[in-house]
Amino acid sequence: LEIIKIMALAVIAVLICVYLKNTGSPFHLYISLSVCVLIMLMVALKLSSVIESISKFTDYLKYSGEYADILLKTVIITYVTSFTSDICKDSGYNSIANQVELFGKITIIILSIPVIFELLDMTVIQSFGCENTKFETEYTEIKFTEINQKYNASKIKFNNSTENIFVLEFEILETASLEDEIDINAYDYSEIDAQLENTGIQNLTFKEIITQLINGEFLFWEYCKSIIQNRLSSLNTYKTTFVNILLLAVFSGIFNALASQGSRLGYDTSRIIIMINLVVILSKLFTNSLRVCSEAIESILSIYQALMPVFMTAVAVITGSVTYAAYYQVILIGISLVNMLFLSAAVPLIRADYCIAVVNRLSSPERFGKLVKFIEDGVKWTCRIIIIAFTGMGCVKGIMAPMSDSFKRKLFYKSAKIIPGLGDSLDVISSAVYGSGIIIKNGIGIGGIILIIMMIGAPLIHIAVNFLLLKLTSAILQPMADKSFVQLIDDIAGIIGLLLLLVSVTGLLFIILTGLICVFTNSY
Amino acid sequence: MEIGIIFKIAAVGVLVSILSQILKHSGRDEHAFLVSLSGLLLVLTWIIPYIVSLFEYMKALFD
Repeated sequence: LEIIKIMALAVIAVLICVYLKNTGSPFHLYISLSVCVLIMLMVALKLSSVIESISKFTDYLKYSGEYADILLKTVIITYVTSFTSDICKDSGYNSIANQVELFGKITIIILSIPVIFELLDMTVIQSFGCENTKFETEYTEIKFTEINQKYNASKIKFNNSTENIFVLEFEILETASLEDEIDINAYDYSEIDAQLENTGIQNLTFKEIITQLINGEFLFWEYCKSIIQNRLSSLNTYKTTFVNILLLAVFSGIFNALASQGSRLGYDTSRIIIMINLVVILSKLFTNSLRVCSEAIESILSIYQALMPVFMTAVAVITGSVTYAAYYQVILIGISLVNMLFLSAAVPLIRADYCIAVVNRLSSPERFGKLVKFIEDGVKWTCRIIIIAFTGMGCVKGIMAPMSDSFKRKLFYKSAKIIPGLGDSLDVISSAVYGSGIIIKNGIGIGGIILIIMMIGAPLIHIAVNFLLLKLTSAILQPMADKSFVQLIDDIAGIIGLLLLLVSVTGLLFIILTGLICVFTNSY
Repeated sequence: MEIGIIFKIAAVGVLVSILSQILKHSGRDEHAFLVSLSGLLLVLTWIIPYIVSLFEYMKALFD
């Protein structure tokens, strides 16, 4: 019943003070002072138990050890300052009270400066990559030159392969066997397999996929299952993040209540420190997702570059050189478009968007909300436009190019039919060869699609889990946490959603493109 | 509890004010001044240890 004691003490002290004030002696000041000291002592006693429990609490919070310390100091400073300045004001010395408050404010600001620097580190340097921008531009240039080199290399390959195609065809004609295996072996998959190994899919070769596909034995679900199981094993990290954010919300409630007592400044500082703590957790999540996203896009591009020569040779076997060139151009434009728009524009833009969102929520009246929304909409619209452009490119080329090719093709077969003694059988054989050629081409195409789905599966699940996690957290926290706390989580969830969009759009683009090319080259 | 200190201060305050009134009326102003000064010192010797202990406690909280 300490509370009643304290209340009684305060009331009695006030009564005595009023009496002493009337008699004109200065002793009422001493009484009020001693009462303040007594009550403050009680508060300090209580506070020490609170601090003990909070320090136990921070053991559960992974990233907030130093922050909790700073927060506690802020709280104590605000208490001491308000105590001293109130006593000064009671004695009628407002100017001294003001100086004391000023000093308290400055001390709090000095205390929170390291946190502000940490914030800078977390968002601006890490997200914008101030030190890394140079490296990154170089990197993208390297990417472009790499693509050009690949283009030139595969041009040479194309010239070789057109020769090969005819050799191949005649080989097939000679053996006239309907076994598909020979044909499958005729292509060089080593580069794709190298890419596969690079991106972490081991003990699986592209040829296996195609053979299994053509024979109808491909167990897609098995591969998917292994990927999903891989991801689920890292569920623990998601769980800790989730729990961390929840704990932080509770923490922020306690601290805001503690610090709002002293002054406006104490409240603001505690709010900002809590927010920065949240930003630390969120930016770990965000940079992780960003890295996974750009890696996924890069791996899709590289696997596509490796797949392209094989696929195009298969297309060339069926159709002819003109279509080959046309589709080659389409895919090349597609790859460089994705590289330029997604890796060099959208990803840095999303980074910037993240920083702006953080700053937006840290400033107490919202300042950059429209800008955040604008960038988000911009990225979304770019994705939409690029999907439309890709579908259009695939379709138009598919309709335009084959005319001249099929004509050439027919000419070749008609002239071959004239050869005496071979004519009729060639007709049968050639249709059989064509049939198997189409199957193999489609096999390679669908194999490529499956590869993309497999490559994209893991990052997609990863980013999606992050996205859902943040959405869930913000939904749970809405009734109890600070408004800006919840909104920051929601904003970052939206931005991670953009990453999700980017990855899925990249996968979708190449799936659409490959599918379209497969479909349009079937009709010969 | 140290609530007694409030009453002590109050008692000292009342006593000092009465004494200084009496002394002033009997024309011994310097004695009145001395009485109030001694009362003040007495009260300060009680209060200051509390203030010191309070600030030491706060200092301990910082660590």
